[in-house]
Amino acid sequence: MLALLQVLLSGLVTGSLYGLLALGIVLIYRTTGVLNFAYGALAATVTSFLYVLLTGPRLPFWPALLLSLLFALLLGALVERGFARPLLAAPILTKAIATLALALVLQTVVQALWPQLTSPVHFPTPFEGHALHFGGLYLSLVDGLTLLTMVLLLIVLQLFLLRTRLGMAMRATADSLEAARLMGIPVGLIFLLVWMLASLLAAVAGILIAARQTVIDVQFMDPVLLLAFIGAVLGGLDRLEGAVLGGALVGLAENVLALLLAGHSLGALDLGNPGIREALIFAGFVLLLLLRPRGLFGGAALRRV
Amino acid sequence: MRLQRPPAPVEQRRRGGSGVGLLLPSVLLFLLLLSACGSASSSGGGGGSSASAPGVDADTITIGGVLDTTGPIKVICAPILQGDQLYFNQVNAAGGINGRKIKFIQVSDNGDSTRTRDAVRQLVEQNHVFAIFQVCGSGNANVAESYTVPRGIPFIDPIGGGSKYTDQSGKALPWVWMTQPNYGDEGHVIGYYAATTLKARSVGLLYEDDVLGLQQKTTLAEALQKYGSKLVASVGYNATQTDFSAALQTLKAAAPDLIVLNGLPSPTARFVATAAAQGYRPRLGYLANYPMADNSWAKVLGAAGEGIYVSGYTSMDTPVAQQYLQATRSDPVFSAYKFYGYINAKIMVDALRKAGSNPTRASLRDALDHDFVNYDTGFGPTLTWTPERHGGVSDFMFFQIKQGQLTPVSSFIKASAVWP
Amino acid sequence: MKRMDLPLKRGRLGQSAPRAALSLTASERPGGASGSTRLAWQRAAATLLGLLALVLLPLLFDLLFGDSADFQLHRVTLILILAIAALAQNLLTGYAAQPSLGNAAFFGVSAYLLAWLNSDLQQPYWLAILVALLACALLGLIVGGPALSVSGAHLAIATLGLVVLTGSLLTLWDTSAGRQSYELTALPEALGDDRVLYYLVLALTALIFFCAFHLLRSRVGRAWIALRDSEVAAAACGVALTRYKLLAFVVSAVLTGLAGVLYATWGTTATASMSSVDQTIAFLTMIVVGGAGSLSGSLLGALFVGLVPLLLGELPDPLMLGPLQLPIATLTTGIYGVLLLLALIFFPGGLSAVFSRGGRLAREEGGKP
Repeated sequence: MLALLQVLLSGLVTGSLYGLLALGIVLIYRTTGVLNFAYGALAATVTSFLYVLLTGPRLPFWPALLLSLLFALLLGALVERGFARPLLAAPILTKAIATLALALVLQTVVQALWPQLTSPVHFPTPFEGHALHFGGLYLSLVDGLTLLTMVLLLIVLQLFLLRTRLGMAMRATADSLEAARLMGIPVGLIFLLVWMLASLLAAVAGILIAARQTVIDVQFMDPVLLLAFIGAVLGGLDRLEGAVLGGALVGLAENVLALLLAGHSLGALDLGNPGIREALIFAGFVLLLLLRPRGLFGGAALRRV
Repeated sequence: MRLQRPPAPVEQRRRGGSGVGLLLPSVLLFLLLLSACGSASSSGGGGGSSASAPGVDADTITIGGVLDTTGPIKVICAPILQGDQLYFNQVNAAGGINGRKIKFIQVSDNGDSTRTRDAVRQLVEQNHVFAIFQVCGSGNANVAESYTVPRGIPFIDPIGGGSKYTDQSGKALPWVWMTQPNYGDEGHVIGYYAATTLKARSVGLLYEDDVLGLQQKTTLAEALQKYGSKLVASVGYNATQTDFSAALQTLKAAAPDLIVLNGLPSPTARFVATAAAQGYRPRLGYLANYPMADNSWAKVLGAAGEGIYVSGYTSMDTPVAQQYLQATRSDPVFSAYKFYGYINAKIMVDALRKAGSNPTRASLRDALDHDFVNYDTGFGPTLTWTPERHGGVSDFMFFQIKQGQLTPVSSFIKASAVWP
Repeated sequence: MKRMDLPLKRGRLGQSAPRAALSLTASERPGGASGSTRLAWQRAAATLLGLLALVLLPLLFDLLFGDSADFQLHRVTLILILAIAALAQNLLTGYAAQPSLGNAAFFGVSAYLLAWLNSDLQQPYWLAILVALLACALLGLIVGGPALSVSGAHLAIATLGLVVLTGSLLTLWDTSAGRQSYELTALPEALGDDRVLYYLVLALTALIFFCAFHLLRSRVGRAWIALRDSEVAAAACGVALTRYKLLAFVVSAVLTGLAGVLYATWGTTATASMSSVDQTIAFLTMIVVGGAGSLSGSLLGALFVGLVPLLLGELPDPLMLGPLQLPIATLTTGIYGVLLLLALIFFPGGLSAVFSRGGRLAREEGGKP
């Protein structure tokens, strides 16, 4: 029982990280129509930058973190202007492939600039080794911070999007580009801000994942991205809350399945095999989409005639 | 009824020009030009060589290798390549082999074994290499072997514990020589050491979930049983896994004295970190297998690594290792893969030396089959190749992490001595 | 129509549809103008010329490359195989406009079925291929059915999930069989000769492109184009959506399956990574770079994806540019990415648009009606 609770807790943390990434994915998708497959690479680039700040000039953690988040904003702006803008008119498939090309370029640049990241390295944070105990359950400091950050971010984002003019402008742009333009909203600026915000979210997710794993290398975000996309799609790809819930579901499912299957066998097949878990998660995802084609939390499909 | 978009303006409905027709010939021309460029730049290695000794001419021996420097396993293969190049450059600077310099041509198959055959063919048919040295990845190496063995091309050091060096009936493959140890042998030695020296009554295993990890699981279990211990729990992981809490709970529930960590440095380090964060450590700690035998792994673990045992087959207190450390003293971290490349390049060079002053593929094969009996590798273990035995090193020793450094705590143990 | 500063056309639910590059050209329109008949003859003649050149290619390679001619031919064979896969993806995604990213699953499954039937069960090679293709047709139907109710980005990600699922299952099969990849050990002797394989693949590719050309000008092709332009309008005009969508899935699956068995034959092995996100990216890149909705685009895309990495791999490492020493081996992926981005930015309608005037207009308009 305790093991299950521990795993659920851990799954919740993993899920909130997927949810954070899914959030950024949906944000970009809703406003700019781009399925951003370079999202993981963006997160990895900023996290690598933080790593270099921490190990090269050996900056203290919090100033380095601040600098990295600023770098994330800058990177988002750069990507929007240099990459997303020229491709704005391209078909959706072209944009998707372009983001993949961007991911390749980012990864190569990171590797070329900071070759020490080609092999796994230790990611130093002041949170290591500390944990909170309550009742037989352990919650490491990083995990606790992750949950806290998620909750705060969600609250801030909700307030921003619902209460501020800029937030409303973003939502308007997401709803209908033409209408937003007609209302005088500077759509170009909105696009820029959306990419910067999404980049920031990616950076936060990447840094938290790195802090949790304590080991990173240049490809450390690769396996996470597809799961985040699945979370985003389960969430319906149209509401931010859906994205977070979808991501949380994937994280929980992953952990609980791992616990349930470990140690059991079906004949000669070891059910604890991670391949089986992966297969089950993707099979479940496909089946869920068949039952609810718009995702678990998605809105109804409207077709304009 | 409103259409979803207004009808396209008439100007857009142009005829597609003589598009397809112009296309094919121009595509062809493009293709030819580019291929010709590629061929011209790599036509080396052929001049002056004879039919039985392609790649050997008056002042160069050309060998080739397929190492993924662009795909998913580049973190392993790229440093190996660097180690190779380091050693070959040292040898060339000191005059080469019997007056010839070594030229090592590397091609990447992107880690994809469907591309390996094409890569090996490039080396053999376009670059005319004398021998194949290293194909990175077990599946990749096996595909390469299906090309090289029927053609009598010597292939030294297929990289990857699942690489074949025997045929279906267990006989040594005639043109393939393995250098690295395999997890099966190591499993036996680990089982022996854990049961007899560490006196662990129950052992858990975290293993890389593929053919190799399963191989070690089997041999570890049987060795433990033979020496009076038992494998009580085993959990698989895959390389891309990020969360180990379920694995931890499962292993913890079996309460083993010792947990053996098999496979990859990054995930095993993450597992240890997860366990440490939850305050769990088995009574005797952990024992990691040979991919983790380097100080970088110890560094990655930080304080949680203290006291962990590691199995390895190389010793740093040897002439070759010292030579390597001296040559790489400006490297920020020690790379076990780069070291692997270095030591294997040494074996390759020794083999080429023993092939004589006019090497042919046949003379290289004879040298490998007859001049490598109890060959002192120079980095710790011995290696024996005979016409019947083409397997790699099977001596292992144990280290313990003390203050972030791997410290030897045993001497070399031969796998053949502990099993059967 | 007034040009807006940010020409982004999106549907209500964020779905974008590919635009100008896929507009009907005169040759696609049923009936066509009279001037297009002469054009059609021109194109046919030019295509035959190109085909002749490909048939004579081995002789040319003998002259150019000497004893490595067979190996170079081996590489051209790969590009033709990729062209079949590109065509399959194009028919589904470019013409019938189903954003299904699941073809890599068929690619892997057909290869594994071939390996199983031929190497393990010792069945004749041709029989194994037939079975693999039939299986793909069935799987295409199974995937296409549910795909009818899912659309847009959801379909894309769902089919991507299917690809990863298939890859996992294939890997599980490998692991439980104790192997790293599925080697084809019982291939017909004749196919070991590069020339024989080349001519076989060339014949198949030419046949398939020929059939595709006619299929696209038939009722089926017209139905697909109608689907792509507006599903609602098509349905209103009496086009049986379900039937033609399923047909697109099945045809695409079978062609991809064929590419899969040929690819496995070419590389003498099948790997689980044939059904992976990376493979899907390769397929999509081919049609995006070549030009979605264009037959010649499939060839061009295959050329880009097949040849560019090989050529980058042939660059000497380290590369000396004056005093600068570039460690090329680690930079090739990035260079490929940059080239890809440049191709997409400057040719958003695909490389095939360069050759057709309709496409050129599309580029000028920024790809928007």
